Amino acid sequence: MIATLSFALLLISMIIQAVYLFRKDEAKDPLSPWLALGAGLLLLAEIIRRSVAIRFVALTSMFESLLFMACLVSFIVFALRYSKRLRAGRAITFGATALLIIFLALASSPLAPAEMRPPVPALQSGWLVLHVSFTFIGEAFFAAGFVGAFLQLAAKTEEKRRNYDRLAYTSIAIGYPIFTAGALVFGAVWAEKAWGVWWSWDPKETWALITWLTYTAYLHFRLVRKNTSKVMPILVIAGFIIAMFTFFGVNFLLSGLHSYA
Amino acid sequence: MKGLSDKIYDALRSVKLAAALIVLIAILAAAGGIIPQGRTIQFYTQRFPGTAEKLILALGLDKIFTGLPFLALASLFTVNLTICSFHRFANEMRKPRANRRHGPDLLHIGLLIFIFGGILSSRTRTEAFIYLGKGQAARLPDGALLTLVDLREERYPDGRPKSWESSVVIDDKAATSLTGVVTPAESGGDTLGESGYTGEDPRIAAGGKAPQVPTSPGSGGVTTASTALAHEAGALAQPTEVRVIKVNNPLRHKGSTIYQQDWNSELRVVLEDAMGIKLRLEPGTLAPMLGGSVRFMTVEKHEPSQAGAEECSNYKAVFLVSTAAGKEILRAGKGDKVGTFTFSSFEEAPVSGLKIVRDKGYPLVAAGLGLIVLGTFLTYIRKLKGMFA
Repeated sequence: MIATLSFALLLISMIIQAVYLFRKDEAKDPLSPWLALGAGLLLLAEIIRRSVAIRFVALTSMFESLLFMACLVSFIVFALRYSKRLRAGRAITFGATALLIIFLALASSPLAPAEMRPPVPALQSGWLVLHVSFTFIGEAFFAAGFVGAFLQLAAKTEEKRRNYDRLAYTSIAIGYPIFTAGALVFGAVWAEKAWGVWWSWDPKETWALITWLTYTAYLHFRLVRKNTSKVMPILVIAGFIIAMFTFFGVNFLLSGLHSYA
Repeated sequence: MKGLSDKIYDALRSVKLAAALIVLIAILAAAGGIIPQGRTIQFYTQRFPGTAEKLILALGLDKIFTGLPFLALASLFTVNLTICSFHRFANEMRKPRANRRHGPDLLHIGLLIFIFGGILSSRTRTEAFIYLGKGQAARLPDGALLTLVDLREERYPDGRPKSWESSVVIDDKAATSLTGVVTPAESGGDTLGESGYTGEDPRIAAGGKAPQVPTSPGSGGVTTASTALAHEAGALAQPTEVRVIKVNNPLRHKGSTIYQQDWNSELRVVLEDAMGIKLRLEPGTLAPMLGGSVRFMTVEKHEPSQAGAEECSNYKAVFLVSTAAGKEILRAGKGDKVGTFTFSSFEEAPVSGLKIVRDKGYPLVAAGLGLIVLGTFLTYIRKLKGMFA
């Protein structure tokens, strides 16, 4: 119910943003970032409600992960809009809101059952909470970077390209250390404690590593190539697609130790 | 004009080389992430029929992460990272203190320590998997005796496991003793002790040294070692601290780490002697009798022949009966004679699945991971500050 309400808020936000997108002036609507923030707060409330019900941090199923991811992206949409340094344009917040709606649509699909189930023993760990939460916080920034990179490729003026590139780079530079800590470091520590092996080339681990390598390659390419190169936005887009494949695709297509994720 | 060695040095420390290697490693890892690794030839034949299977096996795509191309790229990356790290660190040290940025240095050095720890781990890590029932014991790799004194399982109302917990004692002194054995007193009388065959009976104590837990280098050394464990009764172990192992809360002991990994049940047999005294035997254990012994080997399971029949009604217990006349394999059902005993019933007992790991590389891996986190945050923290400026 709460998730549906936040979905409705985001839909309204998206409609308002779409109207403003077609305006010729640079005016930004005053309402949509607050709707995104409201949706984010509602999703956070739902996560807290579920956590209380299962007596553990509700981050142990795909449904809960999607809610958490959507909640984080909502906050990032709000922050982007009010960051003076980044000057995120209307297209960025519109793109990020579209991503949010996709996440929530997936959460309401049969792919992500919404039933509340307390975690099995392997999932009852503080390291797991750190692993999952940091990974999704990192990926939420990658989502903002993905929208920025996508718009960078589509931009027609050099100024816009530079602006989108700056936004994409900032998002990745913030998301990268958080993702590194969550997906790889806390994940390895948790795996060692739960399974007795810190790395096992499990498909989820392998694809998380590929995601990390892709963003690592991006950050290194930035040191040697001009920011007008198309390689960089392509790497950012590829990185996010791989991250989403790691999140969804691996669960459905490849079996492994993370099959309960 | 730069000499050849300078050119090689520059090439090996270049960021371009690093970026190219990272992309190549990612591509190979993606192939390894799509194609299941380390399976049997039959698996690839079934999953990838035709040319794909031949291609996978010919190119070694079934063992990408231990194959030459991956290892060669990883080695070259390590060389690149090493040279780059020291070059960069030296450059930073030449700068005024206020202008130095050591985030990338920490990250790179952390990665090097991590890689070194990973190599050490892959070369020295051993693991074994054992199932222990209450009162059963196993030898740790250092010779100490691990005895399971209690095990508890909780389930949610929907039947899923809520917690698995094993209470154990570790007797280091048993490392040098001749008879490292199970302690009937602590086992709650659920082993040989209950039947009255405990104590100093020489027939039971003979050869009472517990076999060492089998270990295998690398991974996958899995055995149901409960069948090979010592169940022979003998001297009571020294009183030792009871320690609890839970999932996500392993027990670390002198280089070994013991993990709660599984929970299962095991069928035991109950034999009755002429006096009516009951004796419980786990698979692999021995019961002495006059003129020989009976060893319970395994259970032959057959589907119940009729609906509503007791689950074990069609099961047969397989015994090795040794007498002066020779050895005989005997399949017995309830009520059958087994040597001088009568086979009374089957009994189901919970067993705890424990994984015992020795990994000399993990401390280095953990240290490397810590530096990686610190390094990445120090490198990019300015961006986080800048976002809200």
